[in-house]
Amino acid sequence: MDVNFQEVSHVYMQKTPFETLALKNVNAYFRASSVTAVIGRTGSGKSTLVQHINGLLKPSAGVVSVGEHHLEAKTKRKTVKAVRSHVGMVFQYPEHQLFEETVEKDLLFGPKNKGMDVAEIQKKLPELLQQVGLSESLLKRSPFELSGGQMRRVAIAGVLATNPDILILDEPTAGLDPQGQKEILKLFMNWQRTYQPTTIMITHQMEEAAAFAEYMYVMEDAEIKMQGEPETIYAQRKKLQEMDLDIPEQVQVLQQIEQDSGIRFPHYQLSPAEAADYWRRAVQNGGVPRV
Amino acid sequence: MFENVIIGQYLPGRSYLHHMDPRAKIAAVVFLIIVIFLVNSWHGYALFGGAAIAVYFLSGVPFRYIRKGMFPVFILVILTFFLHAFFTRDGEVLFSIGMFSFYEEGIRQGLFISLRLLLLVYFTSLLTLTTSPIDLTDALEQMFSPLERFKFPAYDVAMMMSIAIRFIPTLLQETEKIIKAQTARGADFNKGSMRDRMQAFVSLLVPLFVRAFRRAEDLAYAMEARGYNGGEGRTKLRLLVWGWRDTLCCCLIAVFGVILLFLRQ
Amino acid sequence: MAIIELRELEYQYEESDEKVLKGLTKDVHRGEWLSIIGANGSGKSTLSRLFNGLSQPTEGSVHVLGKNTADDKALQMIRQEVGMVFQNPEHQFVAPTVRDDIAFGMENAGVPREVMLERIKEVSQWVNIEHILHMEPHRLSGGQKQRAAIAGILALRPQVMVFDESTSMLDPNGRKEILETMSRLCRESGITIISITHYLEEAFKSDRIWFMKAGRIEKDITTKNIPDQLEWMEAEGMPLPYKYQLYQEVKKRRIDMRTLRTMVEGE
Repeated sequence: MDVNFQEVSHVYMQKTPFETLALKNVNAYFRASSVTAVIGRTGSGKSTLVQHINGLLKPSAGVVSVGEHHLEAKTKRKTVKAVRSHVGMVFQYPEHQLFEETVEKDLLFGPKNKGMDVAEIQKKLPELLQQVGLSESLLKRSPFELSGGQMRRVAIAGVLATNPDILILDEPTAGLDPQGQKEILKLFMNWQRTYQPTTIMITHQMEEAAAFAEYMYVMEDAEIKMQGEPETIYAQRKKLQEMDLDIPEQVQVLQQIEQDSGIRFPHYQLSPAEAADYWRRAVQNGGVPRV
Repeated sequence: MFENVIIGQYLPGRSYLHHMDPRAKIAAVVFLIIVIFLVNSWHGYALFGGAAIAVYFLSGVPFRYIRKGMFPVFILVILTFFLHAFFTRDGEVLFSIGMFSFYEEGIRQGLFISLRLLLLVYFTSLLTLTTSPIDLTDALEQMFSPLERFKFPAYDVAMMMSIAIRFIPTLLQETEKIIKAQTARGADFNKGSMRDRMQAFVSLLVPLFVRAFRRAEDLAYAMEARGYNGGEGRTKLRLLVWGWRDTLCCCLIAVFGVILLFLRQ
Repeated sequence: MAIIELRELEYQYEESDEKVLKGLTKDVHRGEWLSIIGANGSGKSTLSRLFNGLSQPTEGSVHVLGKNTADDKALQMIRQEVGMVFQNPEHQFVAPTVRDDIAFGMENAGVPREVMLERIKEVSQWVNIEHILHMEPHRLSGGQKQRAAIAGILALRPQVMVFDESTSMLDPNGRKEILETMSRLCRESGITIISITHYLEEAFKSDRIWFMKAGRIEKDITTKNIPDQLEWMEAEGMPLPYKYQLYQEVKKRRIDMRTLRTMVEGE
């Protein structure tokens, strides 16, 4: 399912002294089944942007098209609900949304609300749990007995249970240790490969964006300031730094080496072993002026 | 969702009223509430109305905030007016509609009571609009501290209140976030069958409680780590300063009270 | 010189049958920046609460400046000397504004008002929050809240500051702010820093690292020796920053990459 923003603006607390413009004439396009990252510092408007996709916020001006539906300032709740049934959203610290007595019930909350075939989905829960890296023996346990990492996975499974056409991830790895972050990201990458939803991920971490996304939007002060493929974005390090953003450590290191040695890497997604091999070959071919 | 909620109705500003000591403001409002029940003449209400307008200009609060704050009370006011108008049967009959007759005294009483209610709400909302909740708490703590002798825990109550006030925005943010998360999962808080709405409500309340307990635990550790040990031997940064404004206000209000007494019929 | 001494330290939660900390005997040195790193459940957060007597050891002892944390009379002094910054910025901000929050610890310690005003000015300048003293917590970023917490502790003139995963809930900018502040606290003000973290990059900035695993301190290394320890860290499955991984790969191939060598080994 495609998502398209046309000239979308959003004003918070309209007509109060606290009025703020949270989105300013945003145009953005998310192609069906693609993975897009939205980057920006806290308060740049990233969360506001994605909350328009399932009608949690309505545009003050402009149109958000989701598939064949259009969301505008005056869109009826029926349309909003229809759109919502296609969209799954993993919020920051999603474990805070768990509430049922058992993991199973919590997983079925979404499908039930969205009028799906609950019996059918219930049969698939063991598989779903496995996909998020949990054992099916947890189904009858209370979500509040689980560890923090397990709770996060249950909450994520609760969103994936509806198998959404559009999957929105709002800093899904925040607060986890590096190992946990890697695992969660991998989980989403596998999911994406299998079910091909249109995935939109908000993140602070350039590393994550680089590993997962094929396209990036960079936001600042309620506007989209940069867009393009990750490599194009990283090429503009200065501009990023002006927005208090930095390129991934990996890209920094490789760029530094390029600068000092004059050797060019083919791209910046090389694994350490690949980068070392590439370097050795370049040196053997006499491509090193200064080492 | 909660964008229109103004915390504690407080509107920061730099007006005369904002600069007053909260103790003086509380005392003044309490005094006015008592006095208003003594007023029983048109002159008295005219004077009170004049005072209300004067205070409005001293508050610097935009009129729409006052209107918004007072709107819910209007229903109550209208109800009280008609109750009095219907059931008081003194004085001459002014006019009749069908089987209902309206008496002079009834209308008069109805108007007086309505005016009282309106003025009462008006002055208290000006108090909360121009005084931050924390200043209010501090003032109340000080005003009630003489009662500590009778084992009234003024200090602890004030600490509890100030922590509660501190966490209201947190709670609102959290509520908004969980509502959004559950809405994204298809819950409907506004429409649907009673059962569905109950379910939606539970999906909000449980996480809120779980979070609140967690927060209380963290907060207790944080306070303990910073040496919190109850009220004993504690010093305070916040100081309430009584200024010329406050003395002036108290004097004016006393004079106002005396004049109103003279205007009693 | 030792500022905190752990002796045969053991800790066990009441409801559990396994010890979280198993016989730790170690010293924290005056003026150093010590990192404690380990996976979830390694016991590092439990340990953090033992440094200033928020929890008491089941066995063994913790001495701060020669005083036992189990001694109730010393506890007030210990809590002033060992300040603590916690993980969740929102949950340790007690007061209605930044200024009041900085004052909170001093109020508890009975510091006179005039002194408080002076110190608030001083510490808020030091951590660079003097422009937000009047603000309420819901208008602050995570990093600003953490800096307010640091200022509040600093105002009590502590000798040790413990950071219990204080950067893990912050965005990259907030994290950078707090790391810089930690470094300044240690280098400029001579305060002993103990930072509990699960980020290797952060630990690498400190002077010394304790690697915790299953309730024990598995390794205790100074960060000067990092290049020699990389192999061990990799074997333990620790997610090394890219430059260290590349450094290892380059070393295996017996080639020289000067840029990288400077980055990892220093000048």
